[in-house]
Amino acid sequence: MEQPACGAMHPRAGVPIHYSTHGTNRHERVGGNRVASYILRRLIATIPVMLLVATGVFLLLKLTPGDPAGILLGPDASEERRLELREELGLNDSIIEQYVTWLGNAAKGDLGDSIFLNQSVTSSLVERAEPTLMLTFFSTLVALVVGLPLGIYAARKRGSWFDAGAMAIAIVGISMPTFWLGLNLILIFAVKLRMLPVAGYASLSDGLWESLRYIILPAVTLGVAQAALLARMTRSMMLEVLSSDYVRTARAKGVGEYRVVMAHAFRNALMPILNVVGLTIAALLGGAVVTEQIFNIPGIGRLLIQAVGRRDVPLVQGTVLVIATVYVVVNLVVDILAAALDPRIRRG
Amino acid sequence: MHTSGSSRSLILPRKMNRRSALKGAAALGAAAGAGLPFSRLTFPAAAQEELAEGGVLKIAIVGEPPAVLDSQFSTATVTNNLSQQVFEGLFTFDAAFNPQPMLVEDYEMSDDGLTYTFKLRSGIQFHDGSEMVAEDVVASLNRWGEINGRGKLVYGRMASIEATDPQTVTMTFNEPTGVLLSFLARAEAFVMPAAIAEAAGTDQLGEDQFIGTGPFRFVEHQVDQYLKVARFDDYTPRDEEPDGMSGRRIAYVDEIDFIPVPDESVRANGVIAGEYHFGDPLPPDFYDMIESDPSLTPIVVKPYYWYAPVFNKQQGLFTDQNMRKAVQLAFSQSEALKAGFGRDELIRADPSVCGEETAWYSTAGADAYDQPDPEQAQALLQEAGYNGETIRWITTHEYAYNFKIADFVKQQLEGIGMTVELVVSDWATVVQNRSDPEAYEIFLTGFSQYAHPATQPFNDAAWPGFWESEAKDQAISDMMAASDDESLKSAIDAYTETLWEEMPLVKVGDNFVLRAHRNEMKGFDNFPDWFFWNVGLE
Repeated sequence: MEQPACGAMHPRAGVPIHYSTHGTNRHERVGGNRVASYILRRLIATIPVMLLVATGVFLLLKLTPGDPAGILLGPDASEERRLELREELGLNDSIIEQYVTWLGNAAKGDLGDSIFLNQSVTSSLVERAEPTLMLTFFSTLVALVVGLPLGIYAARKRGSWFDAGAMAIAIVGISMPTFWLGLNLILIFAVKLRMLPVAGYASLSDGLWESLRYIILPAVTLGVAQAALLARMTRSMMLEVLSSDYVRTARAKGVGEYRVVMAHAFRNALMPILNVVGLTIAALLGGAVVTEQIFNIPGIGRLLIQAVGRRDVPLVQGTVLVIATVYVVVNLVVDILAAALDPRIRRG
Repeated sequence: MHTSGSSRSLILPRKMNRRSALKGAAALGAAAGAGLPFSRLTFPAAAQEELAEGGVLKIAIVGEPPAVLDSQFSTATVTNNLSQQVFEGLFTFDAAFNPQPMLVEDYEMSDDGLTYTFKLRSGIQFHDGSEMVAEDVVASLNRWGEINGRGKLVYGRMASIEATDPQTVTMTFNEPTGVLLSFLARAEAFVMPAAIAEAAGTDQLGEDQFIGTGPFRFVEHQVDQYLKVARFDDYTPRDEEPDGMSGRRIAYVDEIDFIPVPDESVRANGVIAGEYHFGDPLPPDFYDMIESDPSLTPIVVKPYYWYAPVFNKQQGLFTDQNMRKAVQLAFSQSEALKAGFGRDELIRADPSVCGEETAWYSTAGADAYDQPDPEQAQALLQEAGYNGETIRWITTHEYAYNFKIADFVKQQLEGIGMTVELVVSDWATVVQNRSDPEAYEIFLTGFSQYAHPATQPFNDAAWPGFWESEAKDQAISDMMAASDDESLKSAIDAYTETLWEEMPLVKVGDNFVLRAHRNEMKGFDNFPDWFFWNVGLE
């Protein structure tokens, strides 16, 4: 029997043996230690990454013209008052002085205060976390519920009308600009049919249904493009796996088609799909700027884009730092999940 | 040429009482009947209609207000408008932009015009239950004089301010300051408890410091989500009929939720779909849709803003007055206005610094407005020795009108042989660069049409554009001092003539903002600075 591309086969049912993870032995304990040390190494490696990100953003913002004092004081403010406020806010200190102060405070966990919002950066971010998490969760749910079955079934029915139709729809889904889709969904479901709110956000504390009413349209807006991407990705991976030797062997042994597709092919196609989903989630947690803006969701993305427009440097710095951390952590989680799924990774 | 647009009083009578206020309201009613240019003028409605009490008003606003409710700290329009729901000052404006008493019961000005004595209304409560006294007024105005541009101007002329007794405030000036009441009528000159004013100093007020005397009290603020105010049950309204922002104020609704909605299409869709009762400002593209919807009332806000390319007069080509005049003659201002804003309902070609709805309207010396003369412009260029040097016009796509007008005028200037480069960036960059005289020759921005002309930011020689002029300074000084209608009118005419003679900027024209409210919202008075007392829900 030909060795399968993704690992040894179970001798009886053609199941790749790397899914048998129960039971412990010395080999797995060593593997576990390796994973722990790998996680630790990855976490340590994030420090210079974040330092670089923070420095880059700080310099970029400082080199970009724009005065937060002028924006805060409004159009009728006198030049004298603007200059006074710049002094009060420490904006006249040298760039190095400002950077060192910020870095020193950040190292102590203090991200400073937003110039415009008159509250700490940490509070601003904490307030925005729930809307962004909700949007991420539900748009990913839309993507998974729509994208995965579509991709799997299209692969299973390769060359059929369903396959061609599903992939054509997927191309449209990927190509459709988010703002265009969002505005049209608002027009149809909120303005014309009055089924859902135009925009805004209701917290979970206002009740699950109330919260869902507000999140449905933005989640669909974001989820459509992800679902389309996922459908194409899943189809492509499934086609590759379905043509592999161990699937043919499983079929030859009389394993049912459903089990062949779901237990053998899909699980092996999962790894790259997991990577795509992980990266998408990381990007969404960093804020879906356009969607949050169109649907007036007070999330991280809207916070960041407004802070850039207002040249609110401490807020931009803090937000970017948190987004960078989210990226690193999500990537790490994806890698750990990958290790759990693939013994070659787990065993180093 | 017509030089003054209004027969209304420029200066409030020296001594104001209820009878004169009522007379003013009656005169206003007559003016409204005669067709004052407010669109769907609604201000008498509150007086005539019985409004129901209760309900929650939902108001979509342009975005998160800088400094939230502290309009002494930030001059942003949205902050100003929110602030006046909660805070009140000694005076406020009537529908013709004349100052009228608010927290003042009565006042007197000395014969030499140097001393003002303000008798405060008694029994006025702050939202924390304490009673407003003269010390609160003094402390609040001291903060205003320290951190606010207009406050600084007043305090620069002031010898002393004191609480002569718990109900009396006396201000003494080094020189006549007739403009005082107009400045005190602005929302930013609000009164708060003395302890709060002193504790805040030059810092922004914190949310626990939003304690005013207004018909609504501050309840809660969730950044980027909402700002809630609720009816202040112990509010004591004035007796006079409502007139603009003056007169009787009654909070009919239980609560108002101000919701920041930065995307203007979402604001408009939200009003159409019934999620917000009122939205401001709305995109002009929605005008027809709103007008054809029987459940909505479109509102065109007159006066609002006017727009002008401003020249860098500190260095470079436009230090020469002939160059500035050449630009003005090179293009049609009304066509540039149309190019920038489109709809006829939302624009007005007019040369005055203040709208014709105000008492400060003047077109003195503005004969050249909208009279393009390319040949004369070319002659002026020649006289100035212009030799094809590049003119850098800093502009932005962030506000569509800004780029559209710049692009239109660029083509006209090129038509008379000028070389113009549009330097496009985001608005924050334009704001930064316009303060740097090395960075540009022209930028374009907007100015309030209903602000006292002495308070226009471009009057300040340190403000971008850097207009230094003895004639201008003299005219402003005269405006600040004027304590009767005639001298104020004469000073405003002199100021306007100087503006057209020295041409620090070229007024393109007026643009009016579009708002809309749902028809279940009753009693709304169309005033540039919106307010929601005397407004009820059906």
